[in-house]
Amino acid sequence: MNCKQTEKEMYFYVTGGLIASEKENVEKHLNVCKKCSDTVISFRKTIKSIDTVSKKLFIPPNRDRDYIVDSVMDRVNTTIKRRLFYPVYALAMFAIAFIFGSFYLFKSGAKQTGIAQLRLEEEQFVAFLTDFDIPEVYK
Amino acid sequence: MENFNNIIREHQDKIYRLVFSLVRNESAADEIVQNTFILAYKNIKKFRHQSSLSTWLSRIAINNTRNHYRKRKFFSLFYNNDDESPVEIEDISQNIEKDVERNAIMKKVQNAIDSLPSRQKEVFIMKHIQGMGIAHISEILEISTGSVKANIFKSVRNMRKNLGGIDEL
Repeated sequence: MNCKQTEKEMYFYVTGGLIASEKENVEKHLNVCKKCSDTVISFRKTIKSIDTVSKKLFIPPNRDRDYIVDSVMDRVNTTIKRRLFYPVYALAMFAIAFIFGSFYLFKSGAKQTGIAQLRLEEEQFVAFLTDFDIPEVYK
Repeated sequence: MENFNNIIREHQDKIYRLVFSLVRNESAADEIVQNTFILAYKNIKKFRHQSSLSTWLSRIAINNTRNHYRKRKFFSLFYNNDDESPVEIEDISQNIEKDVERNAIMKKVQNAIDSLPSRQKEVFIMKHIQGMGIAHISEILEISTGSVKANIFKSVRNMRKNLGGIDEL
């Protein structure tokens, strides 16, 4: 076993998580490697330090957490209700767009008709004028 | 709907313990756990049953916790949110000196864990605090078992550096 392999098993060696044969392999390496055996010593101290405070630091206070279920179900039900209204919102948006669109088209159509009417009248007026033979006064 | 209600009841304690051990703040843990179940509800059809439901929920919880830290880091640029700091539990005992020393160690351990890279912190907490198996951690975090072991080693080594050689009680 080399240092890299020993490092991977070090935590389990210190916390007693190795089977007998694995433990034996690690100990064989520790007997010949000072660096790894020093690391094991510092690992033990670190883990012991953490364990002295871990219950207070990492374990949540013992409380009834039924409010989580209630809160999640409320939010889920709100999501469902919102989803039911999506088609209604879509229809409403479409209706509004349709009404405004029609109104705009109607107005612009009326404007176009008005312009066309004016042009027609102008042309008729010009035609009317050209029908007259205007005497050449200055001939 | 009744099924989902039961799913929450069945898994909420485990998920809550996991999230709390990572954030060590009740209100943050509440929010993250609720968001986890809401996300699970929205994506339940995408669950392919390749892992257990518990593993899938744990994975969502871990991702939500990472998002929580990212948001906290971003907003800390603009303001100092003291509400997010973990609550210290004080021991009221006759041996006050020991309590002061214990609180000091607790603070150091807290800082040492918080200064770990997120992957190392997650792996350490899941293994050492939550007592999860290597294979289970590997499944949740979607990394190899070798990577889990390497991260455990690095986390303890880095914590040793950050703890600065304090003596245990």
